[in-house]
Amino acid sequence: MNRKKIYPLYLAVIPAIVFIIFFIVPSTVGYYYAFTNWSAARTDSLKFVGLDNIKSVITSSKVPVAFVNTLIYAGVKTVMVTLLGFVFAYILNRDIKSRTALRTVYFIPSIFSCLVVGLIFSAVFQTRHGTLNNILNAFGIANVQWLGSRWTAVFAICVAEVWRNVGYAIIITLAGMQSVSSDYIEAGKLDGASEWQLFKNITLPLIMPTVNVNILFSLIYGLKMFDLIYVMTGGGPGNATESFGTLMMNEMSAGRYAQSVAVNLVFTVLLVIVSMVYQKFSSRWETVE
Amino acid sequence: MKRKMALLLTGVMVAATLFGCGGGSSDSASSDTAEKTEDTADAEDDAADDSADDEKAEASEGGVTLTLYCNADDLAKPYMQKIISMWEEATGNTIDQQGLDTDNAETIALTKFTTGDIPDLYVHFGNSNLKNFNPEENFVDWTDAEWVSDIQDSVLPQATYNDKIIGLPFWEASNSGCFYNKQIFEELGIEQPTTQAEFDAACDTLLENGVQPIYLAAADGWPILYQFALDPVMEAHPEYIDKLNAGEMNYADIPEFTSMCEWFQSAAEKGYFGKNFASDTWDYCSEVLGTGEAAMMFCWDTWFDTDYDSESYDYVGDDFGIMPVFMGTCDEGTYEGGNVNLMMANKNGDKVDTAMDFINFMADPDNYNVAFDGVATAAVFKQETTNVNSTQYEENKESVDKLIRASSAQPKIVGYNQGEGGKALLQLMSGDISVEECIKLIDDDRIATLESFAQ
Amino acid sequence: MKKRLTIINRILEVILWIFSIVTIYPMLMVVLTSFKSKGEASYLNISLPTEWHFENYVTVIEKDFIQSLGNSVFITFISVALIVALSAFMSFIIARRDTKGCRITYKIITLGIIAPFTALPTIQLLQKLGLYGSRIGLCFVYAALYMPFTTMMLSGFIKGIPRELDEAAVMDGAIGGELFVKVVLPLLKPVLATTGVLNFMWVWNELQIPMYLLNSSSKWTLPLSVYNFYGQFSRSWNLVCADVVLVSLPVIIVYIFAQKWVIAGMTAGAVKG
Repeated sequence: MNRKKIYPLYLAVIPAIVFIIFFIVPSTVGYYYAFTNWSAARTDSLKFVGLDNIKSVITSSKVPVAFVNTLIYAGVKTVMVTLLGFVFAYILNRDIKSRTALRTVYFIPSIFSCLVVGLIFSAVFQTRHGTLNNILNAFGIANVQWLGSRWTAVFAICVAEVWRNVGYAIIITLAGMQSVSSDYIEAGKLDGASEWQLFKNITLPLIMPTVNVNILFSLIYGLKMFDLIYVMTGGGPGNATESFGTLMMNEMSAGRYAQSVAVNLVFTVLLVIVSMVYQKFSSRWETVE
Repeated sequence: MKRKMALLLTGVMVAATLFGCGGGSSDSASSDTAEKTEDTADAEDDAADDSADDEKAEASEGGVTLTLYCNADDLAKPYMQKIISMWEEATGNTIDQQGLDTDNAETIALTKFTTGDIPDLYVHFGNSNLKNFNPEENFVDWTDAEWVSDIQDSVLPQATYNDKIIGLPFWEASNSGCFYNKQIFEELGIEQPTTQAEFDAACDTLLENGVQPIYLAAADGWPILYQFALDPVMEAHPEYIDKLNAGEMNYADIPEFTSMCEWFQSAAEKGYFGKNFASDTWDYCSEVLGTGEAAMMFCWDTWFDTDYDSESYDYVGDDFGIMPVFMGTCDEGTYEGGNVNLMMANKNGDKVDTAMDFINFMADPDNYNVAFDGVATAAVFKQETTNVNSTQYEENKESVDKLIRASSAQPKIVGYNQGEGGKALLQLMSGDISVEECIKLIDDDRIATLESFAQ
Repeated sequence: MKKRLTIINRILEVILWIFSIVTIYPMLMVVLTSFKSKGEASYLNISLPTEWHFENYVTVIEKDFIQSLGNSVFITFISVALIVALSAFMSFIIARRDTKGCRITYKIITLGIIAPFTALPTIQLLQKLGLYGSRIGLCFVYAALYMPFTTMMLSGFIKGIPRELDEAAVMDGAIGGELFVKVVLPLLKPVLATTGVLNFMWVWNELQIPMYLLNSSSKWTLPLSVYNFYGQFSRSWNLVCADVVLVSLPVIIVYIFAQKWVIAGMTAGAVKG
């Protein structure tokens, strides 16, 4: 029978409509404001100002720092989250007695909102009574102002972001591993394959699509990251930990709405390019198997 | 079409069974199709139900429900809650209180105003941002109301927009200044400073005795409170504000702005703010002051009544006194007067009469005196008698009354940004940038807002 | 061989438990802080409260807790059902039809995870549809917002299911939705459970969107209650923590419950045929 008949398009019509109406339309319309003089001082009778806002955004003195930071956040997050998520998921998928409890324990960081994660890690990295400084003091090392200078603060933010996201990566990867049929593994074992061979030749290729989703997500949400930075350092000290996301927030809270949307638009273009490039590569990996 | 719906419903149903309480066997899911289909239909009718609910609620209680937008922090003030419940009891009406996320309250409110969702009652500070909400078109004009004559003259300007009274300043009025530990000052034989030089000398004495002079929560940005330095300047030169807002003048053209930056730079170098100011946050104020680790901070008097933790530490709230702030721009020092929140009524709403009734109720001396009973604040109303002035104010009344200035930099300079300014000053104090770069950073941010608003 | 594997597993188990201190320690900080007085809770640490303030929880619950809980349950349940159902059909068609149009649609959907929620146009849209301020309007916005992730996950999995299974069912006359429900859906259980939990959590924890899209505090969701205790100048961390514990509990319960499905899926998912 014809594939088009077996998988009729109308099944996808309602989902597509919901997606377009409630997401594509408002998001696209939203970008229009990047080209207007919209601000807190002017919310009606907007005027079209062309590329002015985009220009002022790109030339802002804060962009270079934010650009480097954004890349660091996203890079560190993607590598660490994917790697740790994979390792933990692999272990938690083994025949371990207390694995249900362990899975829950490792998942818990993901359920806290960024407000709480920020609170927790501010407490850990705080100069006064910070958990980390207490530990250092016990070894006779003087207090470090973790959130008081650029690189230590960037480090602290990365730690918090990784901590918050490993849980997701674990359960997404686990879901991938669950779908690897145990028949394949058994068959492999009968053929006398070692654990490494089983892993490399069966498990890994089969869960590659899931890992890809993980990577893409960590990458994009890492690039978009702002809430945790906002809670932990407010982009400070000075502007040292600012990212594109917090720049956008700053514009917003200063009432410069059109500029905020402009940052967002420039940023979205970057993200689209990154994700397209990534998907190009990843689809190659997936077909390799 | 029917078939499509049926399929969609099946999908919803299966998903529902997967996550529904009790679970059950989802493999034989089709058995309870009928029941689940009803659920989904209910859900789709919910939108209609929602609005119907509201009307029903109103009808059944016999009162009117007013909507109120306010930031969550301000709405939680005891006197606000008190006056609302008093009115609800007296009239049988209710107020749907929507406490907005404090960090984004203005953005959320403004977004809603833009889309035409304007609440019956809105609370906003009487500052320059108010103009974004189109007061003349949106809010009831109270210029002829009886209670106007009852408002303290010092407060009235903040309730005024284009010569019209547009809201009721139902709020606490605090005195901001520099708070110091009286006991430590006495032990070290330090007199309360009256000039910038005396203040710096006091800091040096404290330092010599191993006490951190000032706790500055610079990591949060805003607690640097640099409007203290600018208010006296703007008072002496009101034309600066107009010129700044007209784009004819920059911060670099104001000599005192440079003096302020230089003072912060040298104070940080000398160690007035301790070693860790770059990571000090507001959350630790109580502790650092309470243990006597630091002797002073820039703050407002009501904070010692509502937020200072007197129970946990050696020093209690009453151990602190108020003195003027010296930030290198004004030799006699300065205090900042209170900023008041205004309660405003939507003049185009269907329930404008009820909303006005509520505001008149709030303005009645018999009512506000109950709400403000025992609250530590300066009086906003002339007939307000039950409030308590702060100990700090009572003890140093003469100095405060003499040097207090109405806040002007923050409400009047377009683009004045406490947070961004604080960030730049922190970079200066950490030695990352020069005074000139710092001024440029603060000014660039101000100009960006000014241009964005003027486009 | 088998014995050696058991030993390795035991060792790994111990290592995992030791390492779990990284998640348990902060969690304990939050739980312990929720029982402290405001002064003691000015910063988080692991010390026991000098006095156990159970009344923190009472304070939190007094603030319209039950009503918000009801709203949260309703909104989250409908949203997750919508997200999962819509994404399932979408990804089924995308993954199986596999035409050029489908691949382009898939690309567009994945771009959906990049574009952010924009408040103003969304409110204006909902006003036009007569859904502004209603809970169901919010549910649809969530559905659209979280569809991309779920669709990506599900299409990945559907691609992994051998097409031969479909062909067998088609012989028996099952096409379209019937084919999906009979053949594909049962195999998707673990991933449905996983995406379901994640979506549940995202929707449940959302702190900003409900504030923009709901117009009455009687419809507000549970997590928004945290703003009662999280002010600019004074933060009652003890109450914030108590609130967080109460708000997080349902998510943990749902996760534990859904785990059964994840694991059940492992055995049931073994392809028969």
